[in-house]
Amino acid sequence: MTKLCTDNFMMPTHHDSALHHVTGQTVFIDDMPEPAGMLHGAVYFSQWAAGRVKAFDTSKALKASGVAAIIDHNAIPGENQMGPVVADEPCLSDGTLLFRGQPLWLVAAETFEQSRQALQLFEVDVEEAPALFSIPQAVAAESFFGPARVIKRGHPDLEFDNCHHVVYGELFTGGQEHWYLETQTALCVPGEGKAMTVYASSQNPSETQAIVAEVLGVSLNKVNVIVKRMGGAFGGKETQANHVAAWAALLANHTGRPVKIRLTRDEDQLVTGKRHPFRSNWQAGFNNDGRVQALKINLFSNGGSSTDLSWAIMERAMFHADGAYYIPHFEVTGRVCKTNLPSNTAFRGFGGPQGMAVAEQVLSRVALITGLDTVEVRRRNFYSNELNTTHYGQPVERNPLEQMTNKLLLDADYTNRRIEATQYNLTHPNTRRGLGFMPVKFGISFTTSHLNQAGALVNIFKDGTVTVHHGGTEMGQGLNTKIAAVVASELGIPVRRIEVEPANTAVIPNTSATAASSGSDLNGMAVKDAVSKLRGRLASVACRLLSHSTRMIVSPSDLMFDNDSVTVEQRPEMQLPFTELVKEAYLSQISLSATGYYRTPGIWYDKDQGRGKPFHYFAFGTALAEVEVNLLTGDVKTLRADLLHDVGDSLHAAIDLGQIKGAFVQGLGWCLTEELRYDHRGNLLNFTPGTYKIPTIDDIPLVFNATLNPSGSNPGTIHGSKAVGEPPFMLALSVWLAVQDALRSIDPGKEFAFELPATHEKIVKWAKTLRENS
Amino acid sequence: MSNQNAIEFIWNHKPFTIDFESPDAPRPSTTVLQWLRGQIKGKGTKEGCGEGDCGACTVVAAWPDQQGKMGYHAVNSCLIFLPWLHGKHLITIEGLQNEGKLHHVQQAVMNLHGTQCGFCTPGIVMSLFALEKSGLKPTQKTIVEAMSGNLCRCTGYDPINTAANQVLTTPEPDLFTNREQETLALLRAIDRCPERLASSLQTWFAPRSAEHAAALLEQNPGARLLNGGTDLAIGQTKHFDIAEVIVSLDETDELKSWEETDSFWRIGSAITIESIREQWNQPIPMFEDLCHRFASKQIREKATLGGNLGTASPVGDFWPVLIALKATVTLANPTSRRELPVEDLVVGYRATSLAANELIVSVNIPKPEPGWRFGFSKISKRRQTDISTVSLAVALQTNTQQGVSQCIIVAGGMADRPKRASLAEQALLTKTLSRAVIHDTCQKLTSQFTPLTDARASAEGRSLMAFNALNEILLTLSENKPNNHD
Repeated sequence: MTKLCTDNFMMPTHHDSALHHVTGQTVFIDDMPEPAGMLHGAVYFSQWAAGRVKAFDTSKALKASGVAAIIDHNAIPGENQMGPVVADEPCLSDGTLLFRGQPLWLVAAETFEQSRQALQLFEVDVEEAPALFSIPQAVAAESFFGPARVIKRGHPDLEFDNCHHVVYGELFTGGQEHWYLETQTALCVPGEGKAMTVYASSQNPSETQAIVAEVLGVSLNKVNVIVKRMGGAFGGKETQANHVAAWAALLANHTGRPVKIRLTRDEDQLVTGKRHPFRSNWQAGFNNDGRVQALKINLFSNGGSSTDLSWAIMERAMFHADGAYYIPHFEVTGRVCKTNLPSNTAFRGFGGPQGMAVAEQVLSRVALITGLDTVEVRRRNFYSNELNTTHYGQPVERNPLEQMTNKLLLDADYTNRRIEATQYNLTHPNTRRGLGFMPVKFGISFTTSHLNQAGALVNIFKDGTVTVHHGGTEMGQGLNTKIAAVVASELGIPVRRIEVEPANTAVIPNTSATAASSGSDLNGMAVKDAVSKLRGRLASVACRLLSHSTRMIVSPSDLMFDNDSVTVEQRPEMQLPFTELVKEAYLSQISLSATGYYRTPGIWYDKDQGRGKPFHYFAFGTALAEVEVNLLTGDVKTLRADLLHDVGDSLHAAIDLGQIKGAFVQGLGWCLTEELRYDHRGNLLNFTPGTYKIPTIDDIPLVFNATLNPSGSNPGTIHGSKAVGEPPFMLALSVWLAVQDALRSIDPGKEFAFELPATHEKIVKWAKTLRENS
Repeated sequence: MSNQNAIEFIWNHKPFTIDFESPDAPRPSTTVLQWLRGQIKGKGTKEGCGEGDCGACTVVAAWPDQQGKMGYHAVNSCLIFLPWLHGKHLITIEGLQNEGKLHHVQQAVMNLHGTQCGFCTPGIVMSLFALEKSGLKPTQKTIVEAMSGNLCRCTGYDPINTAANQVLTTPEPDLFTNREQETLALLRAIDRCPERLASSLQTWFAPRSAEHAAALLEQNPGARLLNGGTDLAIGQTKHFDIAEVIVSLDETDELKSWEETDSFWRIGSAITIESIREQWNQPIPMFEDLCHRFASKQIREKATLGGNLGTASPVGDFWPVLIALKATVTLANPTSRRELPVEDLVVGYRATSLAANELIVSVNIPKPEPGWRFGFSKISKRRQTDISTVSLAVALQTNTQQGVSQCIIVAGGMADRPKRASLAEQALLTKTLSRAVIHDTCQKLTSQFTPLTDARASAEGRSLMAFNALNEILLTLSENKPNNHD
């Protein structure tokens, strides 16, 4: 076996774009030099949620200064379709209005300002129709996407009779705007014949390619999608980036000129999909020992106007409605509501947070009724070595939650702080402190099993430098940095000689989205596959050269790729510098280019039976948060958060910690201040950062500790690592639980239904209600 | 200088002139961000929102203060029009490196992993750069005040917080320190901004006196008055409502001046909020509390009292406090002046009693007489960089029997305009601050108002918050201890 190196000069010291980021050299699409003749695209979005366009006049807009073209659905040469999974999402409305923000016309103008000024000149007369916006409205109207799905184990209905306590509950968890800093942007450059080059800010270049090809009516090989990077995505560019690309491509196709569309912040917030709001009701049976014996949960999500990824998201919510807990008799049902909102979409956690929030609400109620400590109740219900099978039949293996919880509580001094918080609350009528503990078990893999595949291409140049192509996309998460680290350590060369190239559908075809936290899992393995082919070829050359020069027989298994050279193990004098070896390989007519491929083994899921092994493995995390809540103003200060998270053998500790803290703060926003407010006509009221409030530097925990759990190597993954993008998001539910804990101090025995987010307004209302009844 | 229709400034140590007469010149109300992003070496500055809420477009402008010392100010380039640059040193992300070597602020952000997707990073780096140049002590309050106008969606801010601590703890001389005298000399050589800048599409006036400014408003119906401009800029860039004539108060000397007498402070209406904070040694605590919660550093560097009052927003942050302090405004038209209580300036939703040819010269705050006590509360969804959902300001005087002899209670966010809570005031007058009286006063407050349900909160939530805020303020005042609500 060829040995790998372990030294550190292969480890990147920082994110591979950090230098360019801090110096302003980074090129996002809107920073690219604009091609000659480029037009700026704009979209006329419906201002009505439902109805029909009766009459319209675009002639004034067409005559406006700088306007080159205005097109509608009739100008689509291919299919008027941009649904990623189900073909139920028109690219441009034919006059039927399905949601506020639906695209109707496309404008191309010489300048950005002219493109937007033209929109103000449209005259549109609409006959409005009744519309549905909320889950209760949709449920009452029986407006759903498809039938309910169910995962069931045991007989909860029968088991309730055997429980000491049976309780009911409801929970609403709100949507969330992604608020990536770079708004949706695409630049399309028409080429020879029907070719179209698309510079996209997309998590899913192959799907962007497919949608653009579909609307243009051309084959996939005519469309080349290039993604250098995104200025943040978080799931918001998994399908939503296809739209701007398709619109820009239609305008480019129509005008024969390059077209760029960059949504303004307001447009982006108004028209793109968001995290799915969920409403659920549940019934739980448990005993005095705090063990939940039976649980039934009905999950309803607000899918918006088209299917998009709603079913995969609902499925993941159903897979995670067990939280970290073994529930012997468990039934979870999911329904996706069809409403007249922009179609809701992927967002970090992908239904996981919504499902897990329900489980935590159940456990909090159990603690309240049994009088047990909230952490203790959760521990008693953890999956154990014996009781380790999920409701869908997958065993939870190598589960470190018990060990992690012990370590977390000790490191964070839980017992003493619990006493201190209780004392604080006795002497502070208007500010209260609370603690929240959150365990996370998050399944890793696309639950649509065939998506778990990836490709790579690795090229070594004559000077010993390397380019790496893979199917993943960089959105800030450090995927390319991790990929470079993998290649550096596999080849034993300095990371500075490795360039990870933009995602390019002409180079790596048929890629899956960089989503489901799977970027480094899938692409890392594919890249490793390519590199091992190259290493094998280089090893053969090295064996020949070293055997020749030393008159000994050297076999590939004796070789180490380390310290920028190839060395015979135990014989440091027998060494070839890597660059020399590469040169020799070239002269020996050996290919220095190799593709790689990976598919995740052994995962499957039967949707009809609700059984399978949808996940390659689970990632785990624990968090303890403490908050101080002002009952009069609703202000929440997170005093401290301790996060202990499991990433297996980290591919890059600093990048993993950045993902953990970043996800936590994003989750904190979802739990506290990020609230989507609509009027009765389905207009999103807070579509600007002036009114939609994501966390600032002032909102992070005053004491903020994040630690990687020494869980050890994760079998069957790239270098023993675990995915990290999404799982820590749910650690932030600890903050939501802590707020509830603080409020419960008003009337500790009272059962009370909290919601998410816990905004300032809700907190003052809850505090008032709790006080009035206490 | 030579050209009467041009502005001159320095950009990253390089002198620059923009001649608005030249055929391809931008119009004056082009934002600095728009202009930068049209330059080959200016695309490092990003647009994240175009309304001053995210800080991705943060640049630093440097100019000498009254003592001649260079001050470095972080501002949102999306809210600033080109003429503001005149006579200043514009520093953008491309200008921080010195001969290819990273500025240590850049180095800190990189080494501490303070960047992920990179889109917010140039703005973060520029805010950190200005923070370091402030020479302030590394406290949490300092860092929050300097950085809460920069949104980052990736990192969770922790490494940025660490970087801020690091650069404040160990500041280092840099390129700007080394070349400061040279830069000051270059800036001093630039004459004042021309009084009139005209492009084919727009005329920009920078009058020197209030009367001249008022005359310009009179002569140019429909002209837009720019005092701070954080609202006006959004009209241009988000609503494409391009003004034909802009009358800027940036060069109106009297409006930028500050005066303190034995009985009052006279604050020029065009002095920025940050500048007020710097000049006011011992501000009224209520005022300082408000400043800490007012917008972001970048906006406070541009926003003014005149602008805040002039837009007359029902949630305008300074209104309740200034009314409670019995402040007045001095107004000027082309030929005369008048003084008006701030309270009488607002007449409706975003409407003032200003005549079309009239503007605010100064805000006059009387020095509180002994025996007056004040309380202020701003309730917002997010503590920093958020407009109030509800705000309350209270001023009251008690006599020797602890009865309330005079009181002013003002509510923001509860009506179409900032408004006196007259029923609550009546309930409080002559009473002692007992719990029952306080409760009754708070009920009178909520009975007087029917607030709106909007993007920030519901009517019901607002009433409850106003009740709570007044309750907390009065309880604190009744305990006769400093109001430490914040």
